[in-house]
Amino acid sequence: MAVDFAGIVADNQSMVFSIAVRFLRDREGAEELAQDVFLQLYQKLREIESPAHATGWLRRAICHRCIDEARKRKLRPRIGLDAVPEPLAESRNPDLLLNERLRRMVEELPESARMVVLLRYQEDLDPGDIAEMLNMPVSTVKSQLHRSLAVLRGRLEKQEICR
Amino acid sequence: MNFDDELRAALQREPAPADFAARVLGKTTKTRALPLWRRPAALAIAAALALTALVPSAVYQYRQHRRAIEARDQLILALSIARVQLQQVRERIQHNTRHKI
Amino acid sequence: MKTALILFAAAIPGFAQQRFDFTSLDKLGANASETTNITLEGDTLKLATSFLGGDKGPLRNLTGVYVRSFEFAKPGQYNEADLASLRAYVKTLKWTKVVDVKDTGETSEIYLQTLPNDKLGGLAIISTEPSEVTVVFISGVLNLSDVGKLSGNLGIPDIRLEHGGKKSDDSKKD
Repeated sequence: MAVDFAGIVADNQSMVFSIAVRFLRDREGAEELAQDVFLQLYQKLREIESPAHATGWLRRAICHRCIDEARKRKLRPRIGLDAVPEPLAESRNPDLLLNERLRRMVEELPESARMVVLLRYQEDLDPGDIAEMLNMPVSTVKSQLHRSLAVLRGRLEKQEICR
Repeated sequence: MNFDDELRAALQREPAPADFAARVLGKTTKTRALPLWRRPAALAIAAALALTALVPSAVYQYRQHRRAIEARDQLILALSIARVQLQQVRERIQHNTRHKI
Repeated sequence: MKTALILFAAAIPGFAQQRFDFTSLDKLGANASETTNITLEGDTLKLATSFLGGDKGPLRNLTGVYVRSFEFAKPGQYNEADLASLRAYVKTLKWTKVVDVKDTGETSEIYLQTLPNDKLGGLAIISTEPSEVTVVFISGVLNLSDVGKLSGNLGIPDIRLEHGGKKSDDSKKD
């Protein structure tokens, strides 16, 4: 079955980009990686059976590429202004501020936990699917979710107390 | 809204840049023009095969390392859960003591 | 949503003891909406502790770490009687129940086996709330002063404080 590459890009670009930018915390790097992953898919287009297959392939590929990229960065640290979080703009909308705070806190989680949280709460995958995607036991995924939520809740409460 | 819902709301997908799709499609044209042996995928496969021949134990070591990291994560979680529980017990005791005074 | 945590640490070196089958607790979570299930023993536990000091670290003499934690969507979805076998097992170990708190539907029990020279032979915590059950079991010898050095890092509990002891000065060296 022929798949429409342009359609795949249009349907999945936000998913791929969003995972990359939230995990790497670097917009430029995320764009580069996201493009790479689509080009990888393009090379393998004959093996792609359906749009759903493409989505699954892309999601798995961007997760693993992000994790590999993070490992490389540990060996050669990059300092870029785009990696420095911008100061929170004043907003009258408390929900917007809360969302931004939560996003920042997720981005500060350790890498493995960060990816697990992104796949659970951004991509709405269940722990079994996350475990399969990241090649880790389901219990580890659940452990990381449990601990990450406790950490995020605790930090949010602390911030509320200090405000 | 409970915390799970707040997290989902905060982590809604961030849209890709407006010209992202155009740039990707533009690059596919360039990729198609490369001879097969120069395409990045072919080079990567060749390099991977060479490495595989040279370091057969690397895969085994990597898998062992991954197992160890997973076990470590579980141990840390177990001890973390223990800490939380001990703290909660202490709080309960303090709460009960205050109420009895 | 509440969670019950049962923490068990048992270490009686040199004694042959019947091991507790933690899979028997799994029925507690038959109706659970969230489950945390950790079993670390043997080689897997060695792999885990290799990151925390290995053969020289404070966790070197642990022999087993077990967690069963179940959250339920609403109260009354687990059977307290399913904890009876665990409590009976702890009784056979003759550990000291150092904490036994009951407070409007919540119970917390902590069992310890203290050994000479500031060592802990076992730690068990059984915690129940209407919508949550947690069991943590750690078997193996813990040197309390070593654990104090680790506490605060990676979520390691400072059991000495919880045991009513004071922190020794070595914890202030950092």
